[in-house]
Amino acid sequence: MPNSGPTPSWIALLCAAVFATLSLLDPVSSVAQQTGTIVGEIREQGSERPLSGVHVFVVGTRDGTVSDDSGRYRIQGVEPGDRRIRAELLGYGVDEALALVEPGETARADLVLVREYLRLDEMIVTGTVAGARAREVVHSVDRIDLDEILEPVATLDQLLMSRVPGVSVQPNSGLAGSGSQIRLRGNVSISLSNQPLVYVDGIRIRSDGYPENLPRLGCRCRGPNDTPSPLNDLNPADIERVEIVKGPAATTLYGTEAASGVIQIFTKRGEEGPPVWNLRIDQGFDRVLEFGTESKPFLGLDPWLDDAAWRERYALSVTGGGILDYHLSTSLDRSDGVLPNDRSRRFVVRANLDAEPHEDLSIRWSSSHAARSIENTAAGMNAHGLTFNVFRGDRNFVGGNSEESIAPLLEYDIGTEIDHTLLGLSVVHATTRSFTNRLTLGYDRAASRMDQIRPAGFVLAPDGVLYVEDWVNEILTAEYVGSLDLPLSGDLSTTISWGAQNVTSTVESDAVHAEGLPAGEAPTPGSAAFSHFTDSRVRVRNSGLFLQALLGYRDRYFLNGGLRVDGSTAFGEGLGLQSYPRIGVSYVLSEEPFWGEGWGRIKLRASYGHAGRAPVEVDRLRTWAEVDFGGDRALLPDAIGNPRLGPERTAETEVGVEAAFFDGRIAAELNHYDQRTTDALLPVSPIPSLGFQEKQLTNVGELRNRGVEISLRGGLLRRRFIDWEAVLYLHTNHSQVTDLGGAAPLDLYSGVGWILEDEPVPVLRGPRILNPHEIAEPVIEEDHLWGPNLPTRTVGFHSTIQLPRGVRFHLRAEHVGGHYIYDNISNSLARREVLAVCEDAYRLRASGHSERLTAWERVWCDADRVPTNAGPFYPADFLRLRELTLEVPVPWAFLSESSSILTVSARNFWTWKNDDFLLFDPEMIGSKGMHTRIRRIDAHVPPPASLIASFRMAH
Amino acid sequence: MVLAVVSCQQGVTDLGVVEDSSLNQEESLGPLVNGMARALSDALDTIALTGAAVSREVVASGSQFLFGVTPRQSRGILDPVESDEHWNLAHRARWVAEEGVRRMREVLGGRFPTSRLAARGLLFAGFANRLLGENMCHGVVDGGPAQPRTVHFERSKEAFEEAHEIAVRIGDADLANAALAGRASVLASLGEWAGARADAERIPPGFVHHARYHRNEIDQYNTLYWATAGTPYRSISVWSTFYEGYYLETGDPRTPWSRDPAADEGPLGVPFLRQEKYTSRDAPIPLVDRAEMRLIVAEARLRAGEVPGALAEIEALRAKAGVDPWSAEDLEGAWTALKRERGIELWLEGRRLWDLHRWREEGVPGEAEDLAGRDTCFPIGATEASTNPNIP
Repeated sequence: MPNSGPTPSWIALLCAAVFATLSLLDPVSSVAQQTGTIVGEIREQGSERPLSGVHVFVVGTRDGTVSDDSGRYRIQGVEPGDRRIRAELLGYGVDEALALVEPGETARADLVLVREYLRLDEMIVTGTVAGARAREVVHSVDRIDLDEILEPVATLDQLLMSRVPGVSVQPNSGLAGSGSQIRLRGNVSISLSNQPLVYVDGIRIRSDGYPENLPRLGCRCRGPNDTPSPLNDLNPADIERVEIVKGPAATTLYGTEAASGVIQIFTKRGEEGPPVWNLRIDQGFDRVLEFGTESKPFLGLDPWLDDAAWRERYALSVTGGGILDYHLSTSLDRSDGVLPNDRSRRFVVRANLDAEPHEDLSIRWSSSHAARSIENTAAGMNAHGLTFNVFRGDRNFVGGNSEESIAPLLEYDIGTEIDHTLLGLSVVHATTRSFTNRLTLGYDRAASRMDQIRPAGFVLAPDGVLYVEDWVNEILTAEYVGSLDLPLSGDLSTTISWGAQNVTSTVESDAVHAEGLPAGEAPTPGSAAFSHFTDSRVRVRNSGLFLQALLGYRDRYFLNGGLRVDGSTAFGEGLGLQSYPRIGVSYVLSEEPFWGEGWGRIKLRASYGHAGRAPVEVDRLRTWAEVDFGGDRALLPDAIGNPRLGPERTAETEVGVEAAFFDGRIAAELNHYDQRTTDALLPVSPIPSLGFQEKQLTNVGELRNRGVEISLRGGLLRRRFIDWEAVLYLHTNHSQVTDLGGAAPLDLYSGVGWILEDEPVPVLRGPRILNPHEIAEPVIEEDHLWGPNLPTRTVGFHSTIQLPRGVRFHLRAEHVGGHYIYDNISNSLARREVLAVCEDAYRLRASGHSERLTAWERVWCDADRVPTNAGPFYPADFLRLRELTLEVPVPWAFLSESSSILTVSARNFWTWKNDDFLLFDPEMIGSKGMHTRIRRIDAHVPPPASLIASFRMAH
Repeated sequence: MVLAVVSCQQGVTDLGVVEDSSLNQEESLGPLVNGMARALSDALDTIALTGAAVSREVVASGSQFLFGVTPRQSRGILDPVESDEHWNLAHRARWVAEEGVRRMREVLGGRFPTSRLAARGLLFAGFANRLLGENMCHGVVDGGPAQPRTVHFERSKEAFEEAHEIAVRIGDADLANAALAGRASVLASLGEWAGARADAERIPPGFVHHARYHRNEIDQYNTLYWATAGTPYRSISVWSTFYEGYYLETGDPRTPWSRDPAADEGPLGVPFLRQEKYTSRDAPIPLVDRAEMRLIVAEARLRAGEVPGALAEIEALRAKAGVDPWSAEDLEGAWTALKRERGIELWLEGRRLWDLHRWREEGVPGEAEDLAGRDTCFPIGATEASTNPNIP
């Protein structure tokens, strides 16, 4: 396997060239003597903390800059005279100051910003056609601002995890490159993906996981049994903010694919001014914490685990502008991985360029490229893998657990090379002040080259096996949006927006599987005794038109109506177009004349909307599969076909309150959502004796999904020497299959993960011992309904304490619970009598004292009684200390115009689990990685904890 | 506002799937017959593996799921859920063959009675129905109600007869013999011993007709080999069966097994004695052969009271295998010899469950594996039971 990453040299060259020529673009070098300079400091009211990243500009001009980490700013080339300076920062009220600028002189203007949690005039983009002020928005929108995050975040998964209510980010394993499942308000689909749509700067990108590195032939388990996420191909340091809308009440205008919500990522853009360089260096390590028993804390994996797997990260960016505004960046991440064959490397470059060739016209170009190289250890429920064999101890597939027996398994090489390119062009034309047009073109190409080799002589496959797959998903987005403001009368305003969108997604795959490899280096399919090629290509095109009308009265009553109409190549022939309506209201109660001065601010809103989820096209056809039989083409019945196939449709009602009290120091948001999915696609079995036996997706089911989201945020203590801010949020989610439409109860995994009428989506079912701790014969309830497989409640707590000299301390904890998980690997271990929690019980049985065993032990510590593939089940509730971070400015470092910050951050080092949670970790998903539908514990190591030190410098 | 959406139909270009409507043409018939062959092979080795464990041709020693025998199956319990795959594969094999033959009649028209493809298709319909009749407790056809399993033997007989006619018409001796031998075996199953004997007598020495397996992908492997090869599964073992001791004593080349010093024990802790009848991933499984025909003749003669004649047939087979004759004298001894010899000759070919079932039902004398308390046929699969409205 090649060890060097797939960093194309042209990218490095391009990068170098761009960086080298930047000084030529520096507009400040040509400052005339007739202008002056303004400098100053920007602080936060109360804490007196210097604020970085504040946009400071001279009102009425294009002169401006961004404050540095010590809160200082400098604007050069300012025309002399009385100038008004304005400072804006997200999350704060605006402040202005006056300065008298004299030619060749430096004037001073300090500003103070007041923290404000309810920002009714902030622009929101997601869920609206052309952007709207927060007061006009009828649905809930969560924002994550990178400025507010202390932790040195390495991936988008980390960035989204336990920040805001209603967003669940579930990691899978400790494997290098492991991606997380993201769920917004739970599951709205049984058969299709529940991963939300993701847009980056208005461009749709792939949000579902990359495919598994898994040979087409042989056991569907021979690989790392985990998947990388294309979302983690982004460099988090490039992100400015993220907006999240969680259901159809907000996502209607995104149409047929948007029922699971939409995440919109905005990357950093250039600003007029001299180049600001940012450098970040992270160094640290990952460590898997104990997941076994007291005597076997790592279930025998200790010799193979790196207890301080090195991780490092270097990120450099430059931001500035003049004629052309630019944000250019590059980053390199390397990680050793906790398992012996694991390693990963990621190289990302980004160029964002903005220009305004004419005052009516702005052009925004966004481009990025990520090259990732991931090497993995064979893990999961893979009999040729490391973890499964180690956990099975002396009952494994290689004759025991000694180092000599296990080491040959590491000859199994698994690699994934990812190339992810994103190009976007957006042109905005303001035809008049009130009439704007925007055209966006986007191209996302996520490519993964997966290979794996078990060389000739490999202990469990002596002939050797080679598998190589080239997989590419290309998504083309073309979108036009027009918007027209129509002031009807003094109090009444109308904005009409309309648009059209076309998204075409093509997935292509070419794979070769070869066996009978020659001994020695670098086998190829050509040199193998046998090889088998497969290829596939699937294209789905969704096209839609949308229209939205926003009616405002007195700038506090708003009515928003919208409609999207979609066609898709995936729909059945008899189905035609699908339309998705939406209506919502927003009311800024606190701006009524009768509202008292000290009563705080309140906005009420309600929204109702539809969105869909489309199947893949081939599901509507009656087909035969072309298969091989001894080298000849053979046909076997495949799908019976469904000419009435259509999208799933989710309707959501959301009501919410946003409020701020005590001079804006405490803010609260409350949402209640109720989603009903109709036409849910369920795989329905045809009658087997009629030949076609593949299950056919049929629009028969109905689901319901509801809950509340409450968040409280406030400054608890605001003194000159200490400032304490905290966030508390709660999210609940209760799902239910309301109607199976006559379809049979659906077994999603191995007889334990079910879709059953009136039960959660999905529910775990299996035997339960009613008297587990009694020294007695077990009393067993067969087919016990354990409960939902997805969490029903999440409570998050964040606390930031600010001390003098800019020292900050941040704590983040999260409780997730109400759900159950199936321990698949322990079932397998129990059937071989190598279950670590049974060690005492095995001894007692061996010495003839079975009568001393508990009921639980009598079942689970006796291979003859272990229910096959049915348990153990654990309540998966946990409380985890996500993050402890200390941030210290380093004022003495280097150059005078620089600021430096040192951060030390510990992630996931402490967890409370339910007593009945015996082994492993609740944050695991299973062998299908991001594509897993029933969350379970397979033979993986849990996601590691990490300790990272980060040094940031801005110049 | 007028809303219009342009939606281009340019979906699937190559998915490895073909629309049903495009198959009514001559070029599709070859691949359809190849599909029949594959469907039969898929069904046969799955049923043969489970059937071997239930009928004590082998015992479970390892993997309980992948290429394995479930704990219930190893206790002789065949339940609808665990038999779903067997039921479905066997029914797919039948439907694909019978539906393919129907399509061939339509596409070929007047050329059907002289088409070699048609004869092959009919042969697959015959063997698929035989597989159902021999292994499933109930007969079901095309989503219809449950019937006695003999319905499949009747359909099998009919298909073999037509296949034989075509094969004779086009002068294909191999296909003709396969059809005749197939008919001999189902006539025996229907109790029509005179007809069975007459057909069997016509099969020449050395004749064998196989279900094929291939190395191209795991689904095409001979599972009985793969489950016991140098794989982690080691699902079945000859340990503690009749054949363990028999092979040690006689070295009969028809029931070979070996010990593997590198894998002395299966994952279940049972001594792992590896079957050596199938020694490669593409080892074919006999569907009919001359030896089975001689045993049909022997059984027919035994049923006609011709004990010495029956024994002579059996001893001829043993002499050919180079093993000593059975020391049988009376009728019961002769039946024991016949039962043992059929077990040896048809070992791991997916036929034992039916033999033991029919002998037990008829109450014929003689010793064989004791299946008391064990199931001897597969029930209607769970999916069929829950989707077929004609099955209460």
